[in-house]
Amino acid sequence: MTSESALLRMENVSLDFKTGTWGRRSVLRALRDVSLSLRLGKALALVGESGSGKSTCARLLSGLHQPTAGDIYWRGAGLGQRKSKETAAYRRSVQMIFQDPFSSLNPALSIGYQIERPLLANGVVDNAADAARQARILLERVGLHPADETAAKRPHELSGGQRQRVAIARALAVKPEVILADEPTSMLDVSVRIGILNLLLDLKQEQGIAFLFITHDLASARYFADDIAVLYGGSLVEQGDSEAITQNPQHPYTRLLLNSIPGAGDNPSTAPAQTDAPMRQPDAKGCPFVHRCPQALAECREVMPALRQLADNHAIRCHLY
Amino acid sequence: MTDVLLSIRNLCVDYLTDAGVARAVDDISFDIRAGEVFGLAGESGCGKSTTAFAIARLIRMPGFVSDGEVLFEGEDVLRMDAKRLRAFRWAQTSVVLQSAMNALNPVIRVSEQVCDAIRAHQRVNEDQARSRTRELFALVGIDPGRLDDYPHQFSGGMRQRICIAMALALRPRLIIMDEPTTALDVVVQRDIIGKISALQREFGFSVLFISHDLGLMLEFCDRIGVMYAGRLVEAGTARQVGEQPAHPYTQALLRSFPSLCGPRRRLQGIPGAPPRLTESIAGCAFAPRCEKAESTCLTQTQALASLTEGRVVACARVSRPLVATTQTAEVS
Ligand SMILES: Nc1ncnc2c1ncn2[C@@H]1O[C@H](COP(=O)(O)OP(=O)(O)OP(=O)(O)O)[C@@H](O)[C@H]1O
Ligand SMILES: Nc1ncnc2c1ncn2[C@@H]1O[C@H](COP(=O)(O)OP(=O)(O)OP(=O)(O)O)[C@@H](O)[C@H]1O
Ligand code: SF4
Ligand SMILES: [Mg+2]
Ligand SMILES: [Mg+2]
Repeated sequence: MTSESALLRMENVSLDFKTGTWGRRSVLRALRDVSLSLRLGKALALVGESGSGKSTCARLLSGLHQPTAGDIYWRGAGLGQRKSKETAAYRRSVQMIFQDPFSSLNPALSIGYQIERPLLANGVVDNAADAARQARILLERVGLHPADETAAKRPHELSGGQRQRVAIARALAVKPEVILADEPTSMLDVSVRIGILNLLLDLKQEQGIAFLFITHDLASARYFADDIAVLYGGSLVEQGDSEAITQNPQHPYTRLLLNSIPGAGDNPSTAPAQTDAPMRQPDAKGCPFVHRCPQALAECREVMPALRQLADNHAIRCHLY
Repeated sequence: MTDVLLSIRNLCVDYLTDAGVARAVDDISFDIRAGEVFGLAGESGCGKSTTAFAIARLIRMPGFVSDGEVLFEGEDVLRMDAKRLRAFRWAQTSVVLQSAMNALNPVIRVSEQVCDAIRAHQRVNEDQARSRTRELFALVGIDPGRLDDYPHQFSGGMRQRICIAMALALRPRLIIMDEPTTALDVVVQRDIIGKISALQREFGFSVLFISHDLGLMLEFCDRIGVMYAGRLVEAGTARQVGEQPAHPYTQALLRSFPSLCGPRRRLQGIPGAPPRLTESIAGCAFAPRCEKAESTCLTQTQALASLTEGRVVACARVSRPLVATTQTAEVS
C-alpha cells in the first residue's frame, strides 16, 4: 500500500495504558507497532477480537489519544508537529462515529439541533433555514423517516439502531474527507444495515471519502471495504484485499475467526477463547496468538514475527510464512 | 401448557410524543417456557427493546403499558406491588440492557459494582463476593487481574461482557438480553453464548434474547418471534423460521444478508420505510413494502394464525388456505 495516496495514516504506532490499582499497577500495551493507511475513496475494515485495540486505533487517528511511539500523518505531515490552523482543518475533515450510540449523543438536545449545529459551525450552510433543510435530508438518507418528527426528538426517544443512524448522519453533515466508523451498524438488522452500507458505498465512490470501518461482521466488511486489517492482542496480524482475507485467509487467527461464523462449517480449529489479552505487557515477546494457536512453533514463543508480504496486497505476521 | 414461565398476553405499549401517541408495541402475545431460549428479531425501531422493558417493568413516562398482561408463573408483573416487584426483579429476572456498554457507573471500579450486585442479592461476605466476581470474569473471558479497573478502561465489548457476567451472577429464572453481543467478534461471541447455554442447561433458566444477528439466533434460540412495526408477525421454532420463513417480511430479511462467499454484488435490502407509529394502521403494517401484497392486505387486519403445530404467522397470503383446511383459530 503506497503511503503517498494516504489521507490519514499511522506509522509504527504503539500505545500504552496504565491499568490496575495501587499495589497492582501495570501497563497494558493496547497497540504494538501498528501501521494503517486510509486512502481517498477507499474503505479499510478493521476486524479483530474484543479488546484487541480497534477502538484505540480509531481514537488515535482522530487525535483523542497520543501515541506512545510512532506518529499519525495527515496528508503526509506528522500530527506531532502540526500548527493550530491545520489542526482545525484536520478536526473537521476527520469525523468519528463512536462505538456506543447510547453515550455519544447529547441527551438534552434535539436530534435536529445536534445535526444543524455542526452544519452551521463548520460553514457548510450559512443560515438556520438551510441547516434545518440539510439536516432533514441527512435524516432521510439514513432512513429515519419522517425526518421532521425525528429531528424534534431527543435521543432517549429513539431505539438503539435509530441512534446509530443519527450518529452516522451527524458525521456526514460536515462533509468530512475521512470517516472513522466504530461499529456503526452493530445494532441494525440486516435490511437496514444494507441500506446504510449502500449509502456509505455511494459516498465513498462519489465523494471519495476514506473510511476506517470497524466491525465484527466479516460479511459486512467484505461487502463494504476494499481492504481488511485483522488485529489480535494489539498487533496487526494480517492485512490485505477484502477478497484475499475472506476467501483465502492465512493467519491462524483469521482462519479461526472465519470458521467461527455461525453456519460457516463448524468446529473452529483451535482452543476456544480463554481469558483475553494475553501478553499485553510492553516487554512481552513472541506472537500474541501463540497461546491459542494450533500450529505454533517453538520460535513463536520467543520472537514476534515480522510483517511479511505474501502477495501484492496481502501481508501477514506469522512464523509459518 | 404447564411449563410456561412467562406469558405475554395482548401487550400494548405507547409513547406520548409531540406528534401524538405512538404505539410501539401493538397487541403482542407469546410464551416463554421454562428452560427455553426465546429470540425476538425485527427491524430497527420495531419495538423489541420496548417489549423487554415492559416485561421487566422498566417502562417510564412518556411511555406506558396501555393494555395486556405479563404473567410470570401466572402472576401479572404489571400489577405487582412495590415489594413483590422488588423480589421479582432480584430473584427472578435480570436484564442486560442494549445500552450495557454505557450501563456501568463510570466512577466506581467494576469489581465494586459486580460485588455490590452480588451482595445485594445473596448472603455472602466480601471475600466470597470477590472470588465469585473473579470466576464470572473468567467465564466471560476477562482477565481477573483487571477487576479493579474503571469502566472506561475496558473496551466496548468488555463492558458488555461484564454486564452479562453481572446478569449471570444472580442466577435468576429469566434473563432478558437485549443485543448483548453487538460489540463481540464471532469467536468470543460463540464462546460466551456457549457458556450461557451450558449454564442454562445446568440451572434451567429461560432467556429472552433480542438480536439482529439472525445467524446467531438460529443457533442459540429454541424459538424465534419476528416483529414488524410493533406487531408480532411470525413465530416458530428457530429451525422453522430460519429454513422456511413464512412471512414476507421474514423472507425479505433473510434475503438481505451480505454473503461471505460467492460473487460480491449490491444488495437492495427492503425498499421503503416502516410506517409512523403515531398513525393507526388498518391492514398489514408491512403491506406498503411487501412484494406479495394484494389490495386486501392494506385494509384487513392480519391476526396471527396457526400455520402448523407451534407455528404462527400474520399474513393473509400465507395463512388463509391453511387456516381453512386446519380450522385453527387465532392464537391467544
Ligand atoms: N483509557 C484506557 N485505559 C486503560 N486501558 C484501556 C483504555 N482504553 C482501552 N484500554 C484497553 O485497551 C485494550 C484495547 O481496547 P479497545 O477499546 O481498543 O478494544 P476494541 O478492539 O475496540 O474492543 P471491542 O471490540 O470490545 O470494542 C483493552 O484491553 C482495553 O481494556
Ligand atoms: N421514550 C420514547 N418516546 C417516544 N418514542 C420512543 C421512545 N422510546 C422508543 N420510542 C420509539 O418506539 C419505537 C420502538 O423502540 P424500541 O427501542 O423498542 O425499538 P427496537 O426494536 O429495540 O429497535 P433497535 O433494534 O433499533 O434497538 C421506535 O420507533 C422508537 O423511536
Ligand atoms: S506466529 Fe506462530 S503462534 Fe503466531 S499464529 Fe503464526 S504459527 Fe501461530
Ligand atoms: Mg471497541
Ligand atoms: Mg432496541
